[in-house]
Amino acid sequence: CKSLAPEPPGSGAVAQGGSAPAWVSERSGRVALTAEDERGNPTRWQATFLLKLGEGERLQLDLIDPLGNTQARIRSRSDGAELETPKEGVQRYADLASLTQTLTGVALPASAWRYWLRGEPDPALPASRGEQNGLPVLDQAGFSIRIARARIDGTPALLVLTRLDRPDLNVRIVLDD
Amino acid sequence: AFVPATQAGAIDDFQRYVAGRGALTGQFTQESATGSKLRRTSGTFAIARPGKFRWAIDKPFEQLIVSDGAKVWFWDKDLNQVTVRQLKDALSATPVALLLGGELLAQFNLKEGGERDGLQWLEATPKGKDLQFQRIAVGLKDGVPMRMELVDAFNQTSRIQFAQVNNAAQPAANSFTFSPPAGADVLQQ
Repeated sequence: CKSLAPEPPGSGAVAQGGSAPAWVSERSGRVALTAEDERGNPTRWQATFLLKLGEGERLQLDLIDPLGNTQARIRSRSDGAELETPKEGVQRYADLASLTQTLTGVALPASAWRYWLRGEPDPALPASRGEQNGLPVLDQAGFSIRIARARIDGTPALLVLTRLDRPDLNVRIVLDD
Repeated sequence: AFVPATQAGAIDDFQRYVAGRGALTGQFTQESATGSKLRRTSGTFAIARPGKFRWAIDKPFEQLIVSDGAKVWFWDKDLNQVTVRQLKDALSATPVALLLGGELLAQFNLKEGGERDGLQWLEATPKGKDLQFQRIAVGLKDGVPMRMELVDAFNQTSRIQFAQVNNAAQPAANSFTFSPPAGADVLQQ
């Protein structure tokens, strides 16, 4: 469900009060998403991102424009997800999947990202592996995660996410070192 | 080029700068506190009034922002995606709008910020409610912008340092136009 009780920016940082547990890891880079919503309208955007990962479903994703200005902040916890923007304030969702479904027409799972960004499957979900143009492809949760460019140590530098059931969807992620 | 009056404050100097017809070119280094890391990008810029602007990031990756005075193109080479937006939507109440002057300047309240680090500072606070920046400070030297300090709506801070600034520049005619490379994904917003 999406409650439209916008609150001023910065108020939704820690809803339950008190200091939040520390982040486990942090990834940054740039992302571009191409998709169509239910009415076939193109949804496309690109941004620099900073992803902070905590335990389980807990994450915070900042989307930053090329001039260094944070356009939006997405938070996910076990009890729900929220999107905060300067214009709309804080909007709450049941979980990250429903938040991303509303915004992009695609339900993105919260827990798998920490693994996918390393080019690995989420151990909690079934997965299969393959290869495309000599580079590994991982299929999980309905997504095909292709390492389009890898570093010397084999870690992903450029990931491309697609879905068989959504040919309109294309998510490209360039990862900083 | 304009010559700033010696005893004028930063606001007067800045008003004179934005009223001038000359273009501004130079290099920039932008540092943003992104998470636990300091994110640094650098490149070149060109500004010409009214509303023309080029912001070319070349390190550590290639990104380009170009405004022809009506439209703004955002291009990221690695992602091979171009976003095209109207100037007034893309740059409203942003640091670039401040530097472009003209009607965009009307979106800010300006206040003297005193002298610091050998620069005369002015503080610009966006007038609107839902805007994306809490504070933009501009440090001027002889009336020319040399540094900007920004705090966005999420208290993320960044600093832009200008260098090799030429305020009597003649940017090349094609500096403020952009044609998407073949195969790039172009989105009109």
